Amino acid sequence: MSLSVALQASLQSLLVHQTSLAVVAQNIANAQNPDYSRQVVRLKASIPIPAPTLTGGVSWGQLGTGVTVAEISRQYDALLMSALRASASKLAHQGTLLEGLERLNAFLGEPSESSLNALLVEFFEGWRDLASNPENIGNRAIVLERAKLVISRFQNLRSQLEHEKVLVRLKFENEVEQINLWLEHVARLNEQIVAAKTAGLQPNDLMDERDAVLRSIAERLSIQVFEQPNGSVIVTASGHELVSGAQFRLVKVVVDGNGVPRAILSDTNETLPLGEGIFASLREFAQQVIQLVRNQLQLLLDSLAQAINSLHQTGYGLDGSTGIPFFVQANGEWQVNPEILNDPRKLAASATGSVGNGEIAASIAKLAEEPLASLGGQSFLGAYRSLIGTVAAKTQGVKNAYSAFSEVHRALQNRRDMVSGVSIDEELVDLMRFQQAYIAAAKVIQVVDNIVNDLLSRL
Amino acid sequence: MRITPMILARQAVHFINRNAQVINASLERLGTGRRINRSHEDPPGTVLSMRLQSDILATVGDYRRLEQVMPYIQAADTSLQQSISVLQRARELILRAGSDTVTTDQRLAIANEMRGLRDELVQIANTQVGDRFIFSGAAILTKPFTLDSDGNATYQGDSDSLTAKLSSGEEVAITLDGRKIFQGNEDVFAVFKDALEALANDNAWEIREQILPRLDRALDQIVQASAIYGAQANRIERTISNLQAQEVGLRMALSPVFDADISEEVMTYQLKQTTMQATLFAVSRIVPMSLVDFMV
Repeated sequence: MSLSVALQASLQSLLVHQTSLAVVAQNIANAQNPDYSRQVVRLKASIPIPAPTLTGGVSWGQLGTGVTVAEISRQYDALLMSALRASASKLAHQGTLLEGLERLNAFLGEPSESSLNALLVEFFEGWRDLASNPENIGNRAIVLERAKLVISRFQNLRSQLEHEKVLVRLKFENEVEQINLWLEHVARLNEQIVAAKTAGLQPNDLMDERDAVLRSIAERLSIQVFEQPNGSVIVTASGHELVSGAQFRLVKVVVDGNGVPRAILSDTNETLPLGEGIFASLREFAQQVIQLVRNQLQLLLDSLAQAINSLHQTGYGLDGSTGIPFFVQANGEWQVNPEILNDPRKLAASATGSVGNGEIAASIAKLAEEPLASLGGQSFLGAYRSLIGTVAAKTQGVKNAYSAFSEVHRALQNRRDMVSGVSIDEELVDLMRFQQAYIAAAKVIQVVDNIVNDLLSRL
Repeated sequence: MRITPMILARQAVHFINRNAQVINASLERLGTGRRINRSHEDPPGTVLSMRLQSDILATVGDYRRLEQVMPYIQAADTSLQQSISVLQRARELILRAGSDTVTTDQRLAIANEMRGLRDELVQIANTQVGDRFIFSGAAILTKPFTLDSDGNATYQGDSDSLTAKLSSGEEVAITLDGRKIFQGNEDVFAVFKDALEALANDNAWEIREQILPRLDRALDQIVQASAIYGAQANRIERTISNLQAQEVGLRMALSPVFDADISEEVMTYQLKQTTMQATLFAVSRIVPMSLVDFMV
């Protein structure tokens, strides 16, 4: 009886260690897979014989019958995963915002010799030169050319901002399409995981896949994940259920008149709270950055045109013309008055009608650094500088936040890898351990075999 | 604490990246010679350098505008000096003509010279620099003085003046109100007209008692104007040299904000290069290390 127990135990040991080797092989194979959680075979001794009874039997105790696999466990820390998702939301949020702001800074192009600031300074210098040479047609032509350049730079900036808005909308739509696929994927995985668990299996790799998808969703949107006893997860965004078991809800994009996108739930049309992540970041960029810069630039151009016009209309051109605006609006766009472009003598530099009077031109030149009521008491160049300063400070803040969050995220990723990552050296040590155990079990079988042979040959 | 190859790889990439970013920023500053290449690298510095750049442009502009004014100031100065010489010569002649010993023929000769002097004075008062008449106020394209056949001079200019405008708000006159100079309290041309009449009438008493004092007052008037514009010329020369100093000062203020400190950048660059080499060395040695190498 005891010999067969030994054979049985050794056979189990062979099988168990084969399984262990298979798990080691799987771990090593996935060592470079960032979403993989290390799997560990938990062993336990199999049920001993004989079962103890009250009525006699063997008195020295139970006899072991070998080893079995208790479970193939997944090395995993649910709290860490939830922290990683939150950190992924924050990081993606700042990253997307930074990307947009850097593009914005690039096309604003300050500080440089060819930026709007330089154009504006030269424009005002042109007026000051004209004030000293009011009868000179060449100086008039220079002022007109520079005015055209300033206007076209303003228009150029605005069309770039409009383009940014379109980009934001397209990206938002793409991301929503993507997230809908992922929500569906989570629901499918829930289904498969529940099925496997019901069958008594441990769906470790499916759970890894689900965590990876959940992290991708978290990059777009702040989500909360609640694991259920049956293995499925409920995914909510600020209380709005997105996935529950095999059910999921689709998200739709709505864009308002200012090009600011938001996400709504397609079944109830409720607005989805975005929290942090790529969605919220795109919305923030469209609503707060692009809109602010666009409005501020428009305000600057309007105040410039109106302030210049109100001075210009009181002045006299070389041909005695007066009351002509310097800038006119055509289809809502400011442009240099074509009447003046056709005849630069109509440019009103003179306050008295005298050829050599340049007082109007001088007053216009002074607008550059003179407080204007329409700009809240800031001067024209001062208001532009403070716009650039605001954008720059915002970018710097976002950049700092981004690098701080990426440090946090890296630390969390490292922590996750400390728990769930595969160490090849560790697996190799295990490999040797299991190999030795396998060899030892084989040796036991050989010894039992020898004993049985011995016994048989002597009979 | 378990350290997995993934952690090592992540750290390696992170440190290589961070060093590369610093090297890249340093390289950019060295390449462009600018400390601020993007506004968010230093928002207050960006705003300050925008302000300083516009101040520098304005200062350079003021300098250029004042240099353009110089020929006018010099021409006005020369013209006024010439007018003074003309009037001094006229005074000598009138002084002589006022004497009872001078003959009618001599007075006629003096009258001829006086007529010549008057024409010269009209010419001086109509001095042009380029297209601009410098004594016609702001009506710079209009000849200021015309003389009719009776010898009456009419001023065609205005009482304004063309001025160069500086960014500080200061103004410097380019052209002058000719009436104030030549037809102020004393109308110089009227003095000449009356003198010629008196000479023709052989009226020594009138020449002595009336024309001479008027001529003196006219002379005073022009000498005073000349002194005023001489002072202005000095002021402009001073302002020009101030502007040059101001530009240097502004550029010096801009430089530490806007320009890269080359020697500092080179040092940063070398330091970071060393760090980068050390990082790469460590990564190349540590990351490939594995138990596999020792298993046979």
